[in-house]
Amino acid sequence: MTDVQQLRTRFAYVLIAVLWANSVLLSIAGNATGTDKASLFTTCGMALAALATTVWWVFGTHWITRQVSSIATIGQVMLLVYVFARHPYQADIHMYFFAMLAVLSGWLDWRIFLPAAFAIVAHHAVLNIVHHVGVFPDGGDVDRVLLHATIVFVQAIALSWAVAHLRRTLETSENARDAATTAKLAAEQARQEVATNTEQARSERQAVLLEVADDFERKIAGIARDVIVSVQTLRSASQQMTVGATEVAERSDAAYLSSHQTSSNVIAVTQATTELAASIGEIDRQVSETARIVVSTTTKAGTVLETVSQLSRKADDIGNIVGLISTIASQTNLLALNASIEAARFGQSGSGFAVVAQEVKALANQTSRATEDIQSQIEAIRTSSDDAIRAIDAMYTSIGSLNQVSAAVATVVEQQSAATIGIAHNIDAAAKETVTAASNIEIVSKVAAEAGEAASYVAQSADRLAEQSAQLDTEVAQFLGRIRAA
Amino acid sequence: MREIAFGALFSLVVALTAFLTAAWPVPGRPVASYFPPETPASQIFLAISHAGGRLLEAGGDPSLIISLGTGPGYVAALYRAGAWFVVDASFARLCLAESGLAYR
Repeated sequence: MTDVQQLRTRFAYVLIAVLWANSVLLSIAGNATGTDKASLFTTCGMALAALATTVWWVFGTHWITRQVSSIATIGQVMLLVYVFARHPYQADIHMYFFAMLAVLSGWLDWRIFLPAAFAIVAHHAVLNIVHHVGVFPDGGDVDRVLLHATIVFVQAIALSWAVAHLRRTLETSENARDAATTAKLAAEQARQEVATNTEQARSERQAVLLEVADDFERKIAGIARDVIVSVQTLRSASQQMTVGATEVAERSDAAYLSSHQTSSNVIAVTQATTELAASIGEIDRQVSETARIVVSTTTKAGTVLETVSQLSRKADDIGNIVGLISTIASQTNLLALNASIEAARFGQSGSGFAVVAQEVKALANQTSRATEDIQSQIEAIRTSSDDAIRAIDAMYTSIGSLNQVSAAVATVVEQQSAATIGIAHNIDAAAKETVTAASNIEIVSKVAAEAGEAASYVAQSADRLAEQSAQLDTEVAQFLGRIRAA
Repeated sequence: MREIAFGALFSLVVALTAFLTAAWPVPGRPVASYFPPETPASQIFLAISHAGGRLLEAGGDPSLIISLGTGPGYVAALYRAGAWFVVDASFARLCLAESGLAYR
């Protein structure tokens, strides 16, 4: 509420009091002057006061209230002038118009003076014509009406100017005070905002610090747990490494021994392989000799076969000759018979001849028997030759098979020789690798020993790390405590 | 401007009210009654008589009559008799002057 409004609010009570006081004044004046309309004037005055009070009650200090209350006040003065009709003080009562106009300046509204002055002038003018006793005790006078009107308007203008000026001054002062108040409020608000911002910043800083501390603690706690777990894992790993290194060392020693044994075995195998290669070479040589013998035997067999064949052919030739001899012996025998027959026909003279014929016949028989013997012998020879040929053929076949077997054996021996050479190479490489493996195993053994030492160092480091982790945990707790207390 | 116009109109209303208040007839004092112009004078006089009043003055215009009634319902009786308005006789001075009569 502005100062003008506050003044109007307070002035409203004053003016309402003045209106009701005027009503009382009307009653008193009516009784004092003895007018026969005292009660009517009093009633009208109270009605105007009630109207203004009602409007004020409804509208507050609205301009309607200001206009209605102002005109009601002037109306009461009009009634008061009526009350003093034909009274010596009637002319003096007119000054009450000026007094009430001055009182109405309390509304701080220049707009009320013009209607009020208009009401006063109209009232005077009309009554001066119609009922001059109501305004002027000495009779109607237009000049007096104009004089009063001039005075009233001069006062109304002066009051309007003064009220307008006063109102502007109040508004200016109020604006300045409002500006000062606003500035003060702004300064106060700014101070409060600064304080609030400072407090908020402090709270936010505290919250951020707490959040950072919580986050830091959570993360550090997580890291510490991880470190503890890692340390435990590291410790167990180092123990496993130690065990593993020990086992590796033991296994390395065993492997070293095995490697040496393997080297010895490889060397032995190499020697055996060399001997095997020599044996295989001898086998190859023997096989080659066998093949050569087989070939020679085959050649000889062929020669024997040819010889037996010639023998068989000679036996056939002999058989043919023997057959010819047998034929001759048969012819001889037949001739001896014919000679005996001829000798018999010559009797005693032919006896000698018969004897010769007998002898020739006996020789022919012997020759035939001998021929048969020879024929049987030749058959036996032929049979033996055939057997010899078949045996030679079988032998030839066997020699062929033997030759094939010898070739296959030679091939296998060659393959075996090549395999033996490969085995020898591989065994030689294996021997070299064994030596290398032995060296590596020795290195592994050394490395395993170093790994065991390293595992020991790791275990010691894990222990130190666990101690440092616990110390770090303590330091972090102290640090977080200081941050939260900040 | 709106406030001034309203104030001026309300000023006229208040001035008229004050005027009517001042002109309000007082029992026991002469009143001026104004009847419709076509009303016969005999009817007006008869009405005043029936209301218990007595005629004080009558001008050339029979519609404006100054009379005096003693009863409390005299003014109301005049209105019932057909009077347009009844005021204090002193306020009829101008009308009487114009009608050629003088108010005593």
